[in-house]
Amino acid sequence: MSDFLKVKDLEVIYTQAGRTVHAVNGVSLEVRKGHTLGLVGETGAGKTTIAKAILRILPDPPAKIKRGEILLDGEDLLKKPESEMLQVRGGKIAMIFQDPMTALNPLMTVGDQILEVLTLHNDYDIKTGMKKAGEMLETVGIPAERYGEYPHQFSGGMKQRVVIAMALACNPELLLADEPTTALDVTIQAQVLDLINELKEKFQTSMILITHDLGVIAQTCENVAVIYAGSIVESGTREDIFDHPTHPYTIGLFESLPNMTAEGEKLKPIAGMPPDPTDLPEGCAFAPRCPYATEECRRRKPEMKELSPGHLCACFNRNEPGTLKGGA
Amino acid sequence: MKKLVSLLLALCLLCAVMGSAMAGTLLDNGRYDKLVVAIDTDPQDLEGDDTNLGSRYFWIYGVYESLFDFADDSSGKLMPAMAKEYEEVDGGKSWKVTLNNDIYDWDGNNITSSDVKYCFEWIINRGQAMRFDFFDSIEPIDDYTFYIHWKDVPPAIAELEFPLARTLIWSEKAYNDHNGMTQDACGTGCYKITSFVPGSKLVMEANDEYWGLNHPELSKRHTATVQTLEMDVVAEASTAVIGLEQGNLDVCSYVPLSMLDEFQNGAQSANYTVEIVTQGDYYLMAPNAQTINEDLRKAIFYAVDNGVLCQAMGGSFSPATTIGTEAFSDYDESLEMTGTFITDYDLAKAKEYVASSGYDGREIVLISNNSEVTSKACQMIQVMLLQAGINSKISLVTPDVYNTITSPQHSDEWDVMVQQLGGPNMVGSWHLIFDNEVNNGITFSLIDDPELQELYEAAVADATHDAEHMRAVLDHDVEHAYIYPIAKISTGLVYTKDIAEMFYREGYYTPGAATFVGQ
Amino acid sequence: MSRYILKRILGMIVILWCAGLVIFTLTYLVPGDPASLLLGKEASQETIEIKRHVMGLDKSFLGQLGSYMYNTFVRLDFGESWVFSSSVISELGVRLPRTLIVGLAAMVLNVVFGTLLGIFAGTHEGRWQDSLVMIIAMVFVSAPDFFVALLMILLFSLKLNWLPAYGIDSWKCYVMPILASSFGGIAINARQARSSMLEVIRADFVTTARSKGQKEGIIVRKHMLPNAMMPIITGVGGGLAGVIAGSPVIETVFSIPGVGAYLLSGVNQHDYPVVRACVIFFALFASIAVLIMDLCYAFLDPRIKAQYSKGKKVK
Repeated sequence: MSDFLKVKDLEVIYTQAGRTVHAVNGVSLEVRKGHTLGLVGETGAGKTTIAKAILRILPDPPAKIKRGEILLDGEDLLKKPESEMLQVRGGKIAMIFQDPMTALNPLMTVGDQILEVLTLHNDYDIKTGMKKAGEMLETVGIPAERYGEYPHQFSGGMKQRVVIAMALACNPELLLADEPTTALDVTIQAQVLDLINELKEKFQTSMILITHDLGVIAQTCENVAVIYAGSIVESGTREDIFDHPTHPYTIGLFESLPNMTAEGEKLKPIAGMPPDPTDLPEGCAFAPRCPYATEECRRRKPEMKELSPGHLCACFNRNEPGTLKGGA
Repeated sequence: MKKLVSLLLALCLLCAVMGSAMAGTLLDNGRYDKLVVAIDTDPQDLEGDDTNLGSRYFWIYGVYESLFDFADDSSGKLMPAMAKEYEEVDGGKSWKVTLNNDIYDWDGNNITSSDVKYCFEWIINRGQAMRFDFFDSIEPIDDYTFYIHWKDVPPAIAELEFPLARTLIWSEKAYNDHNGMTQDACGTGCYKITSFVPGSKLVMEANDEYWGLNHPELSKRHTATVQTLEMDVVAEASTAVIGLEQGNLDVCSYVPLSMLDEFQNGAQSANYTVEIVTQGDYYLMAPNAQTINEDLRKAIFYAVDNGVLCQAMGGSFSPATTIGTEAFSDYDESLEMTGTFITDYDLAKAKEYVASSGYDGREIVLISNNSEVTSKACQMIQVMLLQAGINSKISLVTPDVYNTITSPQHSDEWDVMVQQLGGPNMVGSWHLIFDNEVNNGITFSLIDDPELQELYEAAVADATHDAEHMRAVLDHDVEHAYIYPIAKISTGLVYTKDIAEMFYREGYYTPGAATFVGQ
Repeated sequence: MSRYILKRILGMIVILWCAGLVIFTLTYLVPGDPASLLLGKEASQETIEIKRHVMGLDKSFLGQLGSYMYNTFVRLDFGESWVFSSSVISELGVRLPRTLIVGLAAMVLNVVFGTLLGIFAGTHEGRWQDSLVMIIAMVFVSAPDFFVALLMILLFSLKLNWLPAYGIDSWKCYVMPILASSFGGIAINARQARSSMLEVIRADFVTTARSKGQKEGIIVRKHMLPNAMMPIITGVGGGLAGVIAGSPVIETVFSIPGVGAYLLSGVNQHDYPVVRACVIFFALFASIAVLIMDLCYAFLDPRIKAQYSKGKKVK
């Protein structure tokens, strides 16, 4: 199976008031057709930036894509003219956003917002478009009669369903889901995830699922990439990461999960703080917090090493997949 | 053919040259075609009531008329207007007045004695009857004769100014027909109002059916020398100046002295004449005769330099040289008080007088209206008094509070009044400051001086109203240091050169009766 | 919705009633006797007494207040000016159109140009277009309107002789007053529109629209603008009320006999019936302006419309 999406060496910076934020530093990843890649990392690690860079909707004055290639089915998106990107957005690639409360235009009916994406990519007349929008609503579990209602008349979970309806209305080949359940409570979370999976199966959509929640990854993603301070530190299949976490950061993530069965243990967070993105350390970005850091770690950035087929890790001191079993 | 063309061309050129000599033209009937005058306050209503004058004096006397006028020669004598003549009866306590019988208003109503009676009662019942102290009643005898009954024998014509020359007479029927005439005037005058936009514009046309056309004995103010007289309300002086420069305005009386140069000497001096108009109003200081003794009064007067004061008060003010201004009809050069504290500033003398007055160092209260001009004047006066060693404090109040405080009952609350004063003529203006009738036996600044009263009454009485008697009053004032005149007010009257000679009615410029070039 | 409007109108009547009460009491409390002020120092006591009776000043405070409130609100009789004898309400009726012409035209300019400039600046944030617009706005806001008015008179009346400097004769007389009144408003609206736009530009739903492949121009029109309009409308509501009340300066410079000039002359001459009537009219206009503003909100934003109608919210 070939890679449907291939990101190569992506580098994105934000410049504001003279200071440069290195948001994404040489990120490479692949997504196979019909598969889901989970992108996991802390807040501020650069996950959303990668997604927005793929769609090329980064806000242009501060953000700039310095380098890299984004190949969708062989075509480099970064080289496409804007007029063609308009076709891609919403049509071939769609995005689901993090906060459903603000993702919808409060002054437009939910039906019209779905209609908008339909008419942008199809030659429907208004009547047909409205019918199709209504059908989309039904698909996500909202009665089509609610076409003319406004976002404020829906709960958080329902709003997110509308967002999903908008994203999938034109059968995109790639779906970028940016923390789609973070803003929702746990019970609704489950519903929404099920819905996403269902639709993914139905339409055979590839997906990048961005999250900081390992539980969500476990449920939905075949492949996982761990990102820290704008770089991928470890990537592989779900089993690779969950059963054999190798990078000290990945291990730290799993260890910091609260253990429901153990008694009276203190939580084990990773010591230290993520680095200042305007002032990244010279060597490995994790070195200041890493218990295994050496001089070399502080001096040079480690490259991704293949530890076992498909399982990559960027660390000087790790040459074999880890043995610690992760997951709760 | 060629000759004809060249003749026509020459004729046209001649006409153009002649036409450009004057901004306007003379019509066949001899009148100047159109004059546009700037006025700074809004006429607002067209009633025949001149008490709240503002800029209404401007048009009101061309539209409505009174029984008598004051003579054009500024003698202060009466001349006939609507009334033909009068006869003193009953020892002067009543006048038998004969009305002209051919006075018709614009509606064609004939003015009769009953209209006269109506108008007098109207103004009294509105509470607008000013200086009607001597007036008692009107008693009609027949349609064109009536008695004016006075409360007492009037001592001088000047006292009767308001009933005789300021009470406008119009037809009672017209008043009712025109809804009180507030928006729709109906008068007897030589101009008719043809259009009125409140707050913006008033247009008058010469009245071809004016009754006075048959009466050469009337004052020249009753002649309409302009066919269309338009008055534009222009509140800002600078905007009016622009109007003059553009040629949209022909006359403006409130050009500040600082803007006059281009009309006097500059580009516009070919088109306009400038007259510096000194008004019949002046500013003065009046110390409280009861709390400030004569020596201290003299000290105050010598300590104040009215030249410097005028500079502080603003560009339109020049130092007064007598208690009055040359704008008054009874002004005379012999009344100039040079060599006195009025014109001389002498700090050394002031200090001497302070010592001899026994001044105890208390704070003198300077009181005036809270206008910008008087407040500046008070501040300068305070500084000058301090130089002479007199401490003072300034009290600025609103006009009605001023009226209340400066009465005998509150005599310990003020020491020196600083205020503006005016009048129909110089002695008329002295009524307030020298006549002890004002406060039942003492003057408004609490002077109790029988000799002053005698001299004042002599100067006011018609028989002895002359420069000699007026000078006597002024000398007496200087001797006792009662009143100190500070400043005269002048503005620039700018008018088109098409006016050969401006007409003044009692000192007020009246372009509607001016003589134009060619008339 | 119509119930809401009805409620607001009833509320307006109460507001006007209170305004009448306050302004009457305030003018009553101003020190000084209006009759002696009018007649001057030289009037005899008799004359002053007659005048006070004619003006109705010889009654007690409550007596005067009572007859004032009755006349004004029941008989809709605003009385006669004390200084001139014209009926206040007919004078106001004549003057109102002039003030409104200047004011409403200036408001339209404010909204149109101000909003366009603001949007232009907001969508080019940080670049020279943004700075240029902000500099222009700063100049307009700082220059006092009478100063701008006088400069315009110098240029257009004197130098170029295109427009008359004063009066209300022709439509040309209104051009400069309208422009001079609008500059400050344009500046304020531009700044408001710009900051509204900036807020909206960063909004998540705008990113959503982009991610759908919508063109930038249409995003500005359909998504950003309607959401940015709310604060702009608030400004317009306030501006509309201010237009009527702020007229004195412009009307003085251009000698336009409107409501502002009327109020000014009333205050200067202690002509209380004029002052009271003008204040009530200002209160009326402010109330109407705010009501229209609130109705515009409802029209634009369905959430607010729901609030007004207390519509059922479906969860």
